Amino acid sequence: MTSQITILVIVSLGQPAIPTGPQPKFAIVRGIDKTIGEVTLWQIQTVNEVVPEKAIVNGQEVTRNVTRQVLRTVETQFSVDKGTVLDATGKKVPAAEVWKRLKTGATVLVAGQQPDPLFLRVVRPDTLIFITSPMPKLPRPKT
Amino acid sequence: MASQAVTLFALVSLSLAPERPLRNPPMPNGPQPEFSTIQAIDAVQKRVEYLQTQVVIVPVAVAAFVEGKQVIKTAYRQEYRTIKRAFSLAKESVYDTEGKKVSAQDALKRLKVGDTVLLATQPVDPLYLRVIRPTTLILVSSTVSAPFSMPVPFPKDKSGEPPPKIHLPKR
Repeated sequence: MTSQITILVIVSLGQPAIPTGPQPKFAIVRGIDKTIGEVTLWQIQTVNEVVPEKAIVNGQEVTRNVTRQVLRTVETQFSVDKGTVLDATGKKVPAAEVWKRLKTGATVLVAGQQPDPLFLRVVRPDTLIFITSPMPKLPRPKT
Repeated sequence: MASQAVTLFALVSLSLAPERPLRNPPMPNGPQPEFSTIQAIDAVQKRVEYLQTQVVIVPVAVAAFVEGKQVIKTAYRQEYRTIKRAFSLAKESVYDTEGKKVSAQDALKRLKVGDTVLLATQPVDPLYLRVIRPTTLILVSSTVSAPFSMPVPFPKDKSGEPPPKIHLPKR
C-alpha cells in the first residue's frame, strides 16, 4: 500500500502542474465612480451566434443555421466595496489602495474566483484582479 | 519676452490642472488571449503540447417534484474541461509581449514544460499585454478555438425527447 502511494507520488511529481478552475479574463476600466464605490468594466467576449445561411444542396436552395463566432463588447459593473480585489500574488488589496491605483483605461483581470497561481505567473505583480461573485448581477426588472 | 511668459504660464497651469479621466478609453482590437500551460515539448518536431480550458454545457438528469409526483427533468450545467492540444512552432507563429516574432529555435530555447503562455488566434492587442510579464510568449494559431466562447449557445429544447437515464434511489 505504501509502495503504491510512493509510486503515485513519484509519477505525479514528474507531471507538469495543471491549473485548476477557470482562467481570469481581461477587462478595460471604462469608468470609476467613487461615490457609489463602483467600477465600470468593458470586456470583449467571443460569442457563438447562430445565423441562417443560404446554400445550394442538390441543385436546390436551402436555408440552414450556421454557428459563427462574433466579438462583442460587454459592459459590467464591479463594486469595490462589496467585491474582492487581489494583486497578482493573491494578496487582498484594500479598497483605499484600489482607488489610488485604478485609472480609467487601465487593463485589469476579472475572475469568478481566485485564479490559479499557474495563470498568475505571467501576470505583472501590480495588476489588479477583480473577483466577482459567481452569480452574474441581474438587471433591474422592468416596470 | 512676453511670449515666453505666456508659454511659461501655460505650462505651469497645465501641470497644475487635475488629470482628467478619459471619456472613451481605447478598446483592444480582437479577442482576448487565453492562458495555457505547456505539458510537453518535442524539440525534434518543433512541437509543443498545451492544455486548453474550455467551457462546456453538460445535460444532467435531475429528479424534481411536480404536483407531488417525482419526475425526471433535464438540466444543463456548465463545466470546465481541460483539453490537450498540439502547437507546431515551425508552422505557426510565436510572439513576445512587444509584438515581435520569435523564431521556432528561440521559442524552443525559452519554453519549458510547465511554463504558462498565452494562446491567441491573431496577434494580441498591446492593451491586453500591458498586464503580462515581458518574458511571456504568445502562441498564435488560427486553429486554436477562440477563447471564452461564453455564453455557450444553449442546447436545443429537448422537452419532446426522453430524458437521459438515471437510477433513482429506492424508497
